[in-house]
Order: sequence, then structure tokens, then C-alpha cells
Amino acid sequence: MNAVRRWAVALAIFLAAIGTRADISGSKHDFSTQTWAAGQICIVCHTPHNAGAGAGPLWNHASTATTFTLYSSPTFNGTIAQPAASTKACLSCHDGTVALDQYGGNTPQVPSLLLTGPALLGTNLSDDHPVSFAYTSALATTDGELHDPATWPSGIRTGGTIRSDMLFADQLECASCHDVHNSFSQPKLLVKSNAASALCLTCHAK
Amino acid sequence: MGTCAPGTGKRRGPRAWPGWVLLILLPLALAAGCATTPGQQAARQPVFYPPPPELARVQLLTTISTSADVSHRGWFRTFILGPEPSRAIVKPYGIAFWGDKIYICDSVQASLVVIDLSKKQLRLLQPTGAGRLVKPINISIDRDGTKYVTDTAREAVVVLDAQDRYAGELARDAKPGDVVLDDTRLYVSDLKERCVRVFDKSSRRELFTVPREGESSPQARLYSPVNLALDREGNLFVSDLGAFRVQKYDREGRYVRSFGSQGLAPGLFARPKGIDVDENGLLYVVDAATEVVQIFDPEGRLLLFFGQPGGGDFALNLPAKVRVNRSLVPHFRHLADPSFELDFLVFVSSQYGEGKIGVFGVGQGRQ
Repeated sequence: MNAVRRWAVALAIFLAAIGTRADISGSKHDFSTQTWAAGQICIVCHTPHNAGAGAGPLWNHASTATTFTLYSSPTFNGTIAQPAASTKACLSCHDGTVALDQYGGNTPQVPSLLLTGPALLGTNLSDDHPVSFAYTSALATTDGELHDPATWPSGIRTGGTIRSDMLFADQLECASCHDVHNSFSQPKLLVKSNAASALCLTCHAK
Repeated sequence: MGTCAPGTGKRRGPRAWPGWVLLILLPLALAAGCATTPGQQAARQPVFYPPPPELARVQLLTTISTSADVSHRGWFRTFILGPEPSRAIVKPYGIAFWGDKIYICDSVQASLVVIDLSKKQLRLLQPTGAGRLVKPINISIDRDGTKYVTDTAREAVVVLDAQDRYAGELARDAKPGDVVLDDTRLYVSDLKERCVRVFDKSSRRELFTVPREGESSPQARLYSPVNLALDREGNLFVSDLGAFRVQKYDREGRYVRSFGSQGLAPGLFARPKGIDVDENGLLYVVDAATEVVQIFDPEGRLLLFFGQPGGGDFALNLPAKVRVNRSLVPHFRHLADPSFELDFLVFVSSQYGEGKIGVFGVGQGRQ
């Protein structure tokens, strides 16, 4: 190969590498492009030193003074009214004023709940997919239109099931479908592509 | 009661109480148990902040989550009219007051929850047609009853008049976080353009934006101005979720100062949301991550914090808004512990959990 072609190939590889790098830069959680005070991304949620115990590892920043109790352990009582610690971390920003409120169009829909399970979902109105409930094999059996999480492949990691890849102690949380660090480089920070509703159909047997 | 053989018109069997006695005593006995108190008692023991043995400054008076917390249909009316339909507050954010009513924006039910404390009613206000709310977040009510509701999905401030009829829109194509007003001006925070738009209230003409053009100091910059508050002098306070601080601007929009930074310790902010100013100029800022309300003096020095994380009966589960109020004290005074001298109220809305609206009383414990 002559020198020019070698450079062209190297450049193409270099650009391809950048393009497919899976990370939080350039995602909706990349706050540096929105000119935060320090031009940083991670500091919004994490800090390397003096962190406080919280919803995630090295959460925020704590000084040496006394700290507040952060997110006392969620008393999950079978309804979706109590978001768990990781979902709460998402909801502390996505409260109706930031991005997530635009999902599903402009009309809040009382959803045609695909999960027609028993009182587990209660009569809680929501225009967002329910979270913080136990998605177990028993629920799948009762509902009849859900895949068994213990055996159905998640399609995210090789050999991974829904339960191993998407649930947190059998709980469905925001992080079941969204990866906060955009590790999978999908639009809307999803864990897998939702082309042809593939993500929805991972759990919902339609 | 004895049995009556058909056609005889006479009672047989054991002698029962005379009818007139029962007619009087029975309703009285039933009515005795029907005291209507707004909200549920938070717990048997009064909840004080700071907790004893410190001198109490704040007491959690009650929480309001459903219509059962506000009204109670007595035995007789239930018998005649049927059981009362239950309405709930699902995901509240903004709170405002007018007369004896509390207006709460419910973003999931896409409506305003109206609690009428004198009629003891909780109902949903869902304007239809052009005034339909899609995702109401915050509300402010003018002295004449005009309501300004920010709607982040509709991307405008919806105006309703005193009779709750649609009266136009304001700040279109902005993503309005909060709206506050004084006698002549409206302030609308724009989450898209990261500024606060100041309008003339009567003409609805935009006057200027905060921070002002030419303001170059990075400290004056706004990142996520989610909530606003005005003090008596017309100074504007902005709770900036993205910068983890509170900004103060004067009446002309010039930057004065900011305080706070990111952190979990008292005096710092993790997810600062609602902000309000009381008549002494003290600032109340509620934090959705640490789930407490912090009270600062006008210079930004922390005085006190109150509230308990975690929700349940103790309110504050992902809290969003804080509002100071004095006019509704008579409705809640009976809930104050005898050892606590109640001065005014602080309402806090929590987006999840069981105590959706926490009503706190600020005052002082008696020695």
C-alpha cells in the first residue's frame, strides 16, 4: 500500500473506533456540552473522594461534616408507589421537568397496561412504564403475556436472561431498560436497540 | 324490634325502646365519632424538628394524600348518597393558595387538585379544550384569582381566570419550570434557554431575561432554573438544580449573589428543588435527594433543616415544592401540639410515597 492509502486506512479505523466507542460522552447524560461550571460529566453524580453512601457508588460529594441519611431503605410493600434506591436516583432529576416527560408524545396516556397482572400493579395511574415492582416467574405465569424472566434470553449479553441482565433482585427499575452511562450507545440510553420494539418484546410476549 | 303480623298493625314480641328515643340517640352516637380533621395525624407522638431535647422549631402537623384526608362523609349522608368517591393526589409538584383553597399541580393526573378547606372537599380541576393541561408542574395565583400554570409538555404557561376558565397562554415555546408574580410582573423560568423571562403582567410583554445580557460572570449563569421565589423587595431567588446552588438577582435582574454547592452535608445541595421566602426574608429550600427542607438567612447561612427522608407517614419522599403560608393557619391550628406555639405553615409536596402533601408548622416550643 502506498503512503496515502495507509493513512486513509488508519484514519478510517480511527474514526470508526471513535464512532463506536460506547460511553457517556455525547449522550444525553453528557452534561459537559451544556457547559456545566466545571465542564465535567461525572461530577453531577459521582466524586472520587469524600463521597457519601447513597444510591450509587461514590455518590455525589460529602464534606467531613455530618451528612443526612440518604434514601433510607425502601420499604417495598408490593405497590409501585415506593421507588427503590436506583429508580429514586433517576427520579430525583426526571420529575416532570427534564426530558423523560416527553416520552410517548405530548399526551399523558393512562397506559393500555400490557401487564394485566393482578393487584400487584394496583390502581396506580401513571403515564410512565411501572417500575419498582417484582417481575418474577410467578408474575409472568399469572399475567400470561410476559416471558419468564428466569429463562427468557435478554438479548443484551450472551447467555443472559431477563433476570440476570435486567432485573435488580427481581425488581424492574429504570435501569432495567436504560443504562445511565450509555454503555450500549443506544438512543435514549437504552440497553438494547428498540428497533421493531425489540426491547419491549424482550419482556412482553406479544 | 318485634315482628308485625301482616294486617294487624300491632307489635308483638318483646317490648323495644320507644321509637322516639332511638331516633334521637342513634344519630348522636354515630355522629360523635365523625370529627373532620384535614389530613391524617402523622403519628401518635408529635414529630418535632429539631428532635427533643432541642427546642422545637417545626412540627409536622399532618399529611394529605387523598380526599379521605380532607373530608369525611357522615353516616347519614353516606346512607343517602352512597360512599364518597375517593380521589387521590398522585404526583404533585407545585402548590398555591387562594382564599381557603389549596391548588396542587398533579403532573400524572394532568390536572389541578383543589383542596377546599372550608367546604372540606378535594376535587380535580381538569380544564378541557384549549385550556387542557398536559403536564402541569407549578402554579402561582394572583390576588384576583388569576392562575398561572406552567406546563412542560405543552411548553407554555397556561392562564386560568378566577372562575377557572381558560384565559390564554404565556411564554410559548419555552419550557417553563416555575412562574412567580408580584403586582406588576411575571417571572417565568425557562429550562430550555436556561434563563428567567420577566414579563409585564398586564401587557404580557417580555421585559428582559435574567441573567441580563452582558452579564459575564460565570457565577451569574443559570443551568436548570427549576423553581423561583420573590421576596418583599422584589429580589428574585432561583433554585438551580443543575448548578446545586441558589441564585439571587435584584429587581432589575442584576446578579447579587449565590450560595450553596454540591454535596450531602447541611448547607449543601444535592437536588435542590422548591424554594420559598417567608416574610422575614428567610429562604426555604427543599432537596429531593437528601429529602429535607433547609432554612437559610438572606445571606445564605444555614439556620435549620427539617423533614425526614423516606416518606411514609413522615412525608418527604422525593419532595418537589415548598410553600410558606400564614392564611390557612386556623385550619391546622388544632393539630399543633399543646407544647408548640404555631406561627405559620410550610407545605411540602412529595412526588412519591404515602404523604403527598406534608403540612409543617413553624413556630416555637413552649419552655
